[in-house]
Amino acid sequence: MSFVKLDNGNIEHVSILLRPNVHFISSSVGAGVTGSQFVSSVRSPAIKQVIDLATAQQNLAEDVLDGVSDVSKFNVDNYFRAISLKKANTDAQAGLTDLSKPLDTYLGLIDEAPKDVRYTKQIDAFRFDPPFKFTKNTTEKNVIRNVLMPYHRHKYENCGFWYTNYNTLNFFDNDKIPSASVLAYPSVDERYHLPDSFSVNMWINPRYSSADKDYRAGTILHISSSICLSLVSGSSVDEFGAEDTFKLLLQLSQSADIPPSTIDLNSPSGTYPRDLIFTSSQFLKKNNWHNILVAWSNSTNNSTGSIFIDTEETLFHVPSASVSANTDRSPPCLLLGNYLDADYEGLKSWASIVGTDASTAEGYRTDSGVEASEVSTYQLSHPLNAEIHDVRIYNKFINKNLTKYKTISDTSPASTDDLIFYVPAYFFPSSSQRNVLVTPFQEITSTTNDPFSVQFSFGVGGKSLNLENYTLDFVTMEQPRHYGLFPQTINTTIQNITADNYIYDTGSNVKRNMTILPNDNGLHKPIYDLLEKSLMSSSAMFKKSGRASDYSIISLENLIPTSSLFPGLVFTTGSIFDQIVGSAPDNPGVAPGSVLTIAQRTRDVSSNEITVLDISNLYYGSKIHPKSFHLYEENLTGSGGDISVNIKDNGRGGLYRADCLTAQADWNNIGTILYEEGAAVIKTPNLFYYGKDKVDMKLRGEQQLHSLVMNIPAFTGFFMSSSNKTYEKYPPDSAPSNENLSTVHISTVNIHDDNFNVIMQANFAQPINKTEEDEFVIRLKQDF
Amino acid sequence: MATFKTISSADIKTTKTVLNQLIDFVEEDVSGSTSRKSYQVFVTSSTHPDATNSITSSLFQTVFDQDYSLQTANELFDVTYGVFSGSTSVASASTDTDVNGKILFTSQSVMMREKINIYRQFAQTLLGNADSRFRAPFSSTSATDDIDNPLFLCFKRLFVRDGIKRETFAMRFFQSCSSPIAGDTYDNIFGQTAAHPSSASVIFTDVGAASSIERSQFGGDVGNIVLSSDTTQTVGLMFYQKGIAVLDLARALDETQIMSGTISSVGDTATTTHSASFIPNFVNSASMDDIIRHISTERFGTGSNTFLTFQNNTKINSTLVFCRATADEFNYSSNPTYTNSEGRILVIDESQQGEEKSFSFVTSVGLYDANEELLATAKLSRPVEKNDEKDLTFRVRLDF
Repeated sequence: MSFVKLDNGNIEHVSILLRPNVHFISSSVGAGVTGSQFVSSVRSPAIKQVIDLATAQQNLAEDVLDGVSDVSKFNVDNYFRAISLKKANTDAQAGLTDLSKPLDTYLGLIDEAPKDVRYTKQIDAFRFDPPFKFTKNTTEKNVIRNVLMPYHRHKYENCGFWYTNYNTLNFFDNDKIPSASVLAYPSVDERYHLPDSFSVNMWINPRYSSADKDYRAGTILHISSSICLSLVSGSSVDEFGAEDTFKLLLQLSQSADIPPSTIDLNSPSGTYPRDLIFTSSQFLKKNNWHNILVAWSNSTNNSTGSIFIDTEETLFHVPSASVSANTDRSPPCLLLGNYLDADYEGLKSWASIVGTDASTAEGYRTDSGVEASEVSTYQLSHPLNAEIHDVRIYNKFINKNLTKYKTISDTSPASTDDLIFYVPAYFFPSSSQRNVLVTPFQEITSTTNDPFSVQFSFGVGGKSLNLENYTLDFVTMEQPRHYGLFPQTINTTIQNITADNYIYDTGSNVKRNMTILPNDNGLHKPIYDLLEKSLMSSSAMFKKSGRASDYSIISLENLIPTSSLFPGLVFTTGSIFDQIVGSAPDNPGVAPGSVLTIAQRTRDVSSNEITVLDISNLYYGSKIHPKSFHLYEENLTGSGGDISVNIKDNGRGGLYRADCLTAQADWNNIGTILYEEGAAVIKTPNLFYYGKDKVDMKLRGEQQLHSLVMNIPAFTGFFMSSSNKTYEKYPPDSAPSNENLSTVHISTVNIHDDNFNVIMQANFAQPINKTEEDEFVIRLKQDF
Repeated sequence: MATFKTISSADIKTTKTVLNQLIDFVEEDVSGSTSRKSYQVFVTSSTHPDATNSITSSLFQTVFDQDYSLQTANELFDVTYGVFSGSTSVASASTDTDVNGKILFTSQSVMMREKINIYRQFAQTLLGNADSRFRAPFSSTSATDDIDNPLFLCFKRLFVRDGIKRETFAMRFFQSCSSPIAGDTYDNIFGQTAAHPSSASVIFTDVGAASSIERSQFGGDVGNIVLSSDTTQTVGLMFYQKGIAVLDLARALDETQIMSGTISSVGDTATTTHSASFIPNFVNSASMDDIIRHISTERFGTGSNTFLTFQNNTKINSTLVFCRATADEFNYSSNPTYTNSEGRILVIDESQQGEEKSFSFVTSVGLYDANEELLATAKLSRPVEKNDEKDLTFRVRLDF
């Protein structure tokens, strides 16, 4: 035995970063849960629980005496297994030599023994919506919002209870939602009368197509007898048989009154009135963001207009002084998202879309005297299937070939100069007065300054987007009529209905809630000068907690004043409570009381329209690896399978929508992920019930594996004797050249502390031979 | 944290508790080719001019609780076979001994020296001397109790933990396998038991061994494994702390049964037909892999039933530290939030200062060494109020 002093020069510290891949799926509609993590790292079906005879007897007795006729086979088996072993032991002690019968019974029942709980115990990733009553989930939300987010704020961007104001107008249709819906902007005082020089510009993503149904032309923008811009199939399909390319169909002047679906795309242009129909030569790709521009002027390029798809130009010629309707018959509105099938003579139908009869209830301004009449469903039968944003109409001709206009769509306009129409789809914290839903049965007349109806949310736990706050035309600062998208109260007797039943069983409500989605277009950068210059620039909705205004965000704090809560009302249930709060999630049929029920119960006035994911560190170790988190919702609740949403993390603690195939806006913060805490919060109220039916989550973990490596030198001449009493000197082999050498077999290395206490020991798989001439290093490694 | 109090040895108590688990090994785990792993690391051949083939074999095989290619698979036990160098099996097969003492065998006796070395290794580990001979009963001196052809089952520590609990071991075993039918060609080494069913299985157990437990200086407590239908017949040994069962194949099965089939060979063909007794012919002629494969597939059953069970012991050593807080102790806190800037206890009304006694809520107990360095902290699941009317004792438990 020899001692070698080890110092820092003999010791290496090595750390290895492990990054395990995790794929977790929890589905209430599919295959259940896969990818759950076991609590115990070492599990074996061979390890089972011992239930001793006394316990087995007691369990069996309780089972027999519990008044239920069935006696559990499980308890019977446990008892017989225990008693069989006991009998074998007793027989053996009594001197009997045949133990085969009790042991045969014992061995036969081992298989029925209950498994060790560690074999099956798993922990799932846990998703929840904030509850309607104060529960541990309320506490978890509060801890994330009040403790964890402020704690991590210095490290992660937008780590607070707000989200980025960057949205799209989402148009889609299926058989579960009405196709006869449209955003109708009243052309009060002919303000949307198409000028003789104009340019229409917007971002569009043809998001939806399916092999299951024919692709129908969907109208993006329509002004009667002036312009109709539609999205049509590009005649190629993807590997699933769904259309994957699209074209723009432009109809001008009298040709704008021809239903787009009736136009032969192989030969779109014909004789009057079909003479001003054009298609783009270039294609738009499915799930790609494209900037489109349609420009024409009677005084530019010999009345030759342009259709731009990104930088690709298609020219068209309109030899006319104007493409708009006669001013005496100027259409009463501008439509986004559908085509109104009413010809030039059908202005009554056009008028009825923005008629005065609904203007007060729905909160839009229209010309007085606009007649009201019915608009039938077939007249709005060209619903758009795409997402758009940053919709602009200029009163001038814009040629994107010119350097000064090449980047015009890269950012939002800083002012409304030269614009007659601009809908960026920003949230604006003000709206006109209208009927606002407070329960499925009742509404109040009010303005709204929140992203969603707070009365509906905090009162009865319902989800209703304040669509009016997103669709403002920033030129006129007025909102459209949301035709076919406006919630109507239930005016019949109905029982046992919740706010969710009401919302998700009504197609128009579903479509309303999904008309605004988080924007994933990374090719465009919004600037918020218009919000900063607006009358609402000092709104609390633009303020992060305790800071100056930031117009790129929408606050989710203090959505209702805390002063509205009853501080002395300590109950959260009971007759007194019920009388004060009135309608509640479990009883939405009564009149609202003087305080909102959920807010009173939880004393929490921040948004409940969030989704929280609580991920155990069993899944990731010490932290979730940045830029590895991926959530997938294949069927956003209510969308009928049309809307799927991917959410990823940007490596800076932010979650963003990541669906498009073009550059994604990873700075568009719709949620926060706290990598070290395993908590993710989807904050945007534009993805109600995200992951409700199915959570599909992928991530990578981070776990440091620390190793201590000790290099122990076995120098020449060292370790040449053994204190083992059986030690004898003999040469390593029979070679004459080695006959003067002696050998020791090193089998163990002990590591001692300063006091020569053994603190570590390493045994070799097989002894190492060492002679006086040998010199080597023994490397010991300890993983922690 | 506010006050230190000296803990004396009278306040410290050490205890030991034993936990048990029931271990259930299933037939198909040992018989299945995907759950029994061989390690083909040993190549044997012969210098005989007709012996043109070589055999690649394991020295032992490992049984897993599921497909061993899965990350979640756990090793259940290793199984191997050995033979004593002075046994009649060796004597009948050896041809000579060279000048270095190496025993020589014919090319028909395969891996004999490896089988001997396996035996020696277990003898060294369990008996303290590689030249020693296992006997069952353990302390017997009778030559009739020699274990010359043992099967070693080495249970993994995951299942043995701190030792196998005495008198809980039971193992189902087929003493004979398929019997021949005149004129029929059959294979009872590797299968066809359905066509030629074997005899019923027997159970080997250590039940009743408590009265005859012996202690090996190197192997720990040893009990006898007996035939359950006649406990006077000892068939092997159980080393409880080591988790190793030693079965004497000469007594555990029908050693004279003719074993017919095809086994690996180093002759001019890669395999050869074998038809001779189990001991000594089959165990001498077959490679380690063939012997283990035969026992694993033919002697333990192939279904989903339990073939082997025992209970294990896990010893939990605990130190209990009784931390007593008498009525006048620990009623005050040095937490800075306990008092205001004037030193007034915040939770006592100003008007009651001096009237109402201080109280505290205990949340943690810190254990310090003589140099007042914190060694361990115990956290209470919820704070406990301490005032001058309460005498509390906090029992801090450290499990090792």
